[in-house]
Amino acid sequence: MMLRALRALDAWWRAPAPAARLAVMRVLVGLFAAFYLVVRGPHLWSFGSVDPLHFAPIGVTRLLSSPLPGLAWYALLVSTGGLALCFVAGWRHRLTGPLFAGALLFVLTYESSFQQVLHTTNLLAFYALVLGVTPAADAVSLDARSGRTASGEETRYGWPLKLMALLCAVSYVVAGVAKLRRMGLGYASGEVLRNHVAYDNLRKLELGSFHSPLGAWLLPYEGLWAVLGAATLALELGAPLAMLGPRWGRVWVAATWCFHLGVLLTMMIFFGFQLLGVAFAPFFHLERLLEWRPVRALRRRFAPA
Amino acid sequence: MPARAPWRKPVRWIHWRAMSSRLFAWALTVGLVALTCWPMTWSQGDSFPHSRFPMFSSLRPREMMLTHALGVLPDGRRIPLPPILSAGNRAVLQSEKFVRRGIETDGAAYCAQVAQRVAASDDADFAAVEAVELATSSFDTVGYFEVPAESRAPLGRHVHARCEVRR
Repeated sequence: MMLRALRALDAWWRAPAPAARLAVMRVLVGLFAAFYLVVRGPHLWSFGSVDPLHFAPIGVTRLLSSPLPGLAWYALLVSTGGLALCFVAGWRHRLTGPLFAGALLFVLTYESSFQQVLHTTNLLAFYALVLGVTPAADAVSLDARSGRTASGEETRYGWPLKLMALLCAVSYVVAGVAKLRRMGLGYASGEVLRNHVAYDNLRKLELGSFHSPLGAWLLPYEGLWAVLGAATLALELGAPLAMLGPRWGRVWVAATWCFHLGVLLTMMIFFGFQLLGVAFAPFFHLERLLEWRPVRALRRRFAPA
Repeated sequence: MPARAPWRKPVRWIHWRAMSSRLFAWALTVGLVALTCWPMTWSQGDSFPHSRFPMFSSLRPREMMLTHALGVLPDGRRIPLPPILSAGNRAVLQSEKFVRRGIETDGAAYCAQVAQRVAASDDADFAAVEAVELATSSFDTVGYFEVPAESRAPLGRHVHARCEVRR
């Protein structure tokens, strides 16, 4: 009985999927990582000359007793950018995939090792790790074009996407559990959320940055914050429902995307990985993107003669 | 010819590959899901990429304390200095931690660093700044937004360090 259940679980988890689905996910994650490294470039670059007294290592950077020398940090940043391009192109993925995942994990962790842990790139690091060590370049890649990929069973391509979807759902549950542990169901009353939005906007103003006028304007509407507080908890704790099937997944993704839009509009916090849709991409049949006319034209242009 | 004993069967490479591929799939799945769930057992602290996502789960009382760098104008008004001047980078929340750490370590020296950045800045908004103050201010978070912007003031303020901007 137990064995049968395990076999069924294994069959569901490793259900076949087209190689192109995982490959498109690789391209999306790689492009986002490259975009992130460019947009955050000046900020990331500034860590090459930061005062060591601000260094507070976490995760993999605990291996360091002091910040990296400036030159080493600059070299790492440039190499990670180069590896991101290899990752997008799917060039020598068996080597460059794990290297990119490791380098990106280090860069993102290092960025959070100066007194402030960022919570907008956790899933990016996890997705890169999954894609870096799985056959994500068996299609839509230079490896596939030059015949470097081994053709194999399609069970290899489905589970990494399910794993990314599960990691996405679990991370929301973790956030929901943190709220419950701290405040219980009282979070759903909305007062905590309202105070948080007020706190966040005030802090930004008084730290010389820009705030959300909309968030500040909505503060007097207590009923609205109660609805938003309850909806936030329901979305986070109900995230595992997204794993039940494509329809459940899409409903949860749409609601969670709206939640992140709300965070942007009321607190000016941009969860780019989520709002640009990459975090939720594992819930969709991504190979269909290849049929999109501009993508088809692009592929024709770069296809071998 | 006698049948080969079952334990002497030749290794079937294709089966070994299938099995190792299955083991790898499950090992990575269990490992990463466990790593993501692990922070649920923490009551404090944080890490990366696994996190307990404490940013929206902290209780925020209506009255808050904030440590920041202020520019003093000739008419005595104080304006908050942006992260690029107060901390030398563009991260807003990080800038508060940098200023607090600077005060804890050597407030006067950190204030001088900020004043130097203000003096070197070509931002017209800060051209009239005469002095820099590193201060901890307390605010009523909701009440703050109930009054016009020009009337907003802290409930209280403690200045840790003050230094002149020499241009």
